[in-house]
Amino acid sequence: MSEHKIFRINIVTPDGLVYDHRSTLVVVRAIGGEIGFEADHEPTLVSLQIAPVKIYRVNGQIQYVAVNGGFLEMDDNVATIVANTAERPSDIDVGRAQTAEERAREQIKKAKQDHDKAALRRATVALNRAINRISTVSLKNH
Amino acid sequence: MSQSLTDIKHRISSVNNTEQITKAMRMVSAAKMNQVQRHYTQYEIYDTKLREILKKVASSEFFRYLTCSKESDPEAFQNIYYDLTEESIVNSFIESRQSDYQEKKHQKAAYLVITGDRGLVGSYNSSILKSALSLLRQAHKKGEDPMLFCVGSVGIDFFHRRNIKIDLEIMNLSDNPRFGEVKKIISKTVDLFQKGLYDHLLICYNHFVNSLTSTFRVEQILPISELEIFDEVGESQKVEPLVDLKTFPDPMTVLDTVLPQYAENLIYGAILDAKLAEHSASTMAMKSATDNADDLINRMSIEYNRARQGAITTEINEIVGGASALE
Repeated sequence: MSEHKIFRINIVTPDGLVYDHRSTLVVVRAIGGEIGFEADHEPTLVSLQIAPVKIYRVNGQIQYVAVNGGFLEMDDNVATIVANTAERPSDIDVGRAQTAEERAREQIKKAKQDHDKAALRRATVALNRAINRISTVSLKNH
Repeated sequence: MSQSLTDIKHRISSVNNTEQITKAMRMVSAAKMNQVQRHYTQYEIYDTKLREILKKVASSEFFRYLTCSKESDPEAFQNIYYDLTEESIVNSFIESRQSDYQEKKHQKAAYLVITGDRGLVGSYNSSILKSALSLLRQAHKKGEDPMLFCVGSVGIDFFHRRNIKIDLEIMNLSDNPRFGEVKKIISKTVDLFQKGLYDHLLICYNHFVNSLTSTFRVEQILPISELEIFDEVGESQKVEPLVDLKTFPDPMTVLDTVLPQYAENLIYGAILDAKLAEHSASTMAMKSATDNADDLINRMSIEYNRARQGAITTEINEIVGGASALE
C-alpha cells in the first residue's frame, strides 16, 4: 500500500463540510461513466451522477458516501466534491429510503399514465436518490 | 385615592409579566440567531469553494473558447452549438456573454421577495415589503409585468391583500432552514428561468450587517452571465495566463451542472442571510420592548409612591384636623 501516493478528499454541501480525509483512490460515477482519481491527477472538473462515491482510505479501508449529483474538482492533490447533499452510510435511514423508493416508483407509473413529463422527471430523480442511499448502505455492509 | 393605588399596582404587575415574556422571547431569538450564524459559517465553506471553482472555470481555456463570439471564430461557434438544447441554462448564458451588453434588453423580470413568517420583528417585514412594493410599482409603470415569488407568510398575506398575483410561494420555513427544505422553491425558480418564463431574477431581502443593523438589498442573480465574478475574472485575465482545466465528460455538460448549482447556491445564501437578519431584528425588537417595559415600571413606581405619599399626607391632615377640632 505504501507506494500509493496520498491526496485529500473533501465533500462540501450547503449544510457544511461532510467529509474530509486522506485517500489513495477515489472512484466516482460521472455522467459519462466511472472514473478513478489518484494523487497527482491533472486539474479536472467532473459532473457526477446521483451515485455512491467510493473512497479508499490510507489504511486500506473502503468507505462509501451517497452523493447527490454535483461535481468533483481535482486540483493540486485536493479532490473536492461539491454537491447539494451528501450522506455517510451511518446517517442514512434505510427504512425511509425504501419507502421513498416505493413512492417514487408509484409516481413514475402514474406520471407515465398521465404523460406528465415534469412529474416523471421529478419522480425519476427521487427514485435515483433513494436507490443511491440504499446501495450506499448495502455496499458498506458487504 | 386607595382605588388608584391598587390600580397602579395592578398595572405594574401586568407590565412586569409582559416584560418577563419579552425577555424570554429575546433570549430565544438570540439563541436562534446564534444557531443560524453557526450554520452560515458552514455554508460559507461551500460558497467559497463553489466561487473558487467558478473562477477557475471562467479563467480556463475551454471557457474562453466557449464564450468566443460568432464573428471572431465562426468554426468554434458552430461546434459549441452542436448539441445544445433550447432550454439549457448554458445556452442562455453563452448567448448573453457573446452578445454586447448594450444590446441586451430586459424583457421580463422576476422578483423573489424574502420575508419572515411571524410578526414581533420590529420593522423587519414592513421595510422589505415597502421597498419591494415600490420596485414592483416602478416596473409596472414601465409597462412590464414582473413575476413574483415570495418566501414567508407575512409577505404572502401582504401581496394577497393588495391583489397582487404571486407565482410561487413558500411559507413556514423552519428557523434554521436546511438546504433540503428550500430546495423546492430554489430549483423551481431556476427551472422557470430555464424555460424562459422570465429573463432576469432579482432577490429582495434584508441583508444582515451585524446584530444591530440590517439593510434592504436587491441583488440580481440570474442571468449568471451578468454576475460580477465574470467581470472580475475578465479583468485579471489580461495579465494572468489561462488555466488548463480538463473536464469530463465535455465542457458543456460540466457547465450545465456547475452554473445552475451556483445560481441555487446564491439563492440559498440570500435566504440564510435573510433568516439571520430576521432573528437579529426579532432580538432587537424584543430588547427594546423589554427596555420600554422597564421604563414604564420605573415611571409607574414613582407614580405609585407619590400616590401613596399623598394618601398618607391626607390621612395625617385628617388626624391633625380631627384632633384640633376636639380641643
